Amino acid sequence: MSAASTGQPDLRLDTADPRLVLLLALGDDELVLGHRHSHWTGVAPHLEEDLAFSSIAQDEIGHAVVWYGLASELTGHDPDALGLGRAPHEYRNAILVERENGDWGYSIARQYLYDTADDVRLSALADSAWTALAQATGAIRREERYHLMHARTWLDRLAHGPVEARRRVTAGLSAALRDALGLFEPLPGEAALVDEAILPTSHADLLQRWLDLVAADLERVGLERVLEEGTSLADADFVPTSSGQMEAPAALSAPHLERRADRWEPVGEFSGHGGRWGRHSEAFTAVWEELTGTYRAHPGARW
Amino acid sequence: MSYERRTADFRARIAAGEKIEATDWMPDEYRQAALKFIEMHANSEIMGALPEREWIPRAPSLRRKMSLTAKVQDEVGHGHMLYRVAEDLGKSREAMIDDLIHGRTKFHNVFHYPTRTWGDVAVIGYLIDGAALVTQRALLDCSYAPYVRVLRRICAEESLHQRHGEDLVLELCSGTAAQRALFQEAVERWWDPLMAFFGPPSQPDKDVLLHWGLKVKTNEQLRFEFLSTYVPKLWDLGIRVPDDDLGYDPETGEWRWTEPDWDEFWQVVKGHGPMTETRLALRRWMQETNGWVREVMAEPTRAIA
Repeated sequence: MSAASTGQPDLRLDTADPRLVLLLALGDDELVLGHRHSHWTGVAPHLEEDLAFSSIAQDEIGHAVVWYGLASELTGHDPDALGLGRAPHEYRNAILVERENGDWGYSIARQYLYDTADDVRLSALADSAWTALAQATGAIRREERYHLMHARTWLDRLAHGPVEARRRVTAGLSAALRDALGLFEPLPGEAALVDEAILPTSHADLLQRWLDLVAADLERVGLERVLEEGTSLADADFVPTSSGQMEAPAALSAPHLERRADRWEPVGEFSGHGGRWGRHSEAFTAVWEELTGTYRAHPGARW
Repeated sequence: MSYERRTADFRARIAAGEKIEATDWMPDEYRQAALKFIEMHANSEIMGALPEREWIPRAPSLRRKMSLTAKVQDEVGHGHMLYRVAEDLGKSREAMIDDLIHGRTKFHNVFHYPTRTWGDVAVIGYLIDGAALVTQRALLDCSYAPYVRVLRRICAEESLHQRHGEDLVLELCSGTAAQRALFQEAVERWWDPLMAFFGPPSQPDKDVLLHWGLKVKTNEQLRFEFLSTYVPKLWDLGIRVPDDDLGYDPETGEWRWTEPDWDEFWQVVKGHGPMTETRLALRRWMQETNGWVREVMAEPTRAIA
């Protein structure tokens, strides 16, 4: 993270306001995943899919702009400064979205797990007591419906496809599932957000809703066994911050999943800190440098 | 009717300005020339996506990140449409991709060069897309109707790209000294490839594409149009063009310009450009790695209970 020594200084945000943390978590998830999706532009496995993934990437980045727009009203900083001008440890995206694209099986598995989680989250936020936030979900959800359809179609297609395709998507789901639970890591200051009904449903409850949805899809394609496999984030390796200080190399440990009676349930609590606290994996170093490099190299420039 | 007689009638149709449809009878020479030309155009669209896509992750603002993604997506879409037109002339998309990635067919010379800075994105968006637009607009009068229909849509989108490119250029030229320098430096690096863009002087009596009405303007006419449109704009912006002899001569009505190194041009044509191997290797790798995905797509979608 050496680029911090020259160019645009890091934006210092006062994240004591939990509303800002919520908006950054939402915006950073979308921006970083959009960034990763756009790596497929021009080189996807098939021309039709090249077009589809490029569209999804643009939508996700557009949604990030919406969330940063609301954050601008709280902070006075413009969306570019918020999206491209922070130090790595100030990004609040879940680790899932920063991982390398891997193969097409992983990319589809991640898109599926992310977009189902985003759907659950947006449905809850549509009832937020913060009117501006609730209103912002409308246009976003209209586009996300298409993403969800894309992800489900591919999940089904790969799961019912030739042996190699089924093997790849199963491996992708297994690899992404642990990180996907990190999307539901409680936010710093979450209790206050829930009390004020800004976040009408806690992440713990959202996790159960998401799990119901994903379990139904996976059972339909005969892949529910991936829910039992690997549900800890213990191997996430955490990186130093740009200021050179080493964050405590804490790992996020997520609940494990169990089938009880007729539904899958998370058992246990999150412990340690992950993306919502600004702790990231090694993969984020490359994302951050690529994502912010040009912006940071040109202090005072308008684009 | 003899083959010669049918060919002569076919030539007469083209001379009379008639358009040829995919289902019409056509001489083998015409089919081959049209296929080769449209296939190369399709190849160029998808290879042209590569230099630009490298800057999507590094775009300087969120708005630019989205618009560049959209633009590269359009280029891939053009490739998609053009491969369909080429397929109707008798070669499968798989075969065309296979020939491309193994260096058996060509893609446009200008896409064999590296993109080093955000300034290159502006040069490509403004000047290279500008040159492409000059060429493609001229092709709207060509003899092959399915190609013309797709070109109409491509030209409409390219006009938007060109405005996008102009916007990028104005942003850099009216920005900080460092932004302006990005564009100036990129213009200097890209000038020779731009002059080579239209190819060496045409030889109308030997040019098979002109013969069949698949091209209607000579390389000189196209280069003249490009210089007349863009050089005055660059000068207005205070951008130095790295050709001291460049100038318009009102007496002859011609542009004076220094010819690029045609040896380098022919080297690139033969597949020895600075980035040729890197870019083809990337495509070959993607093609090999993703064979299993194409297998899935080749299967009919199964109903899910």
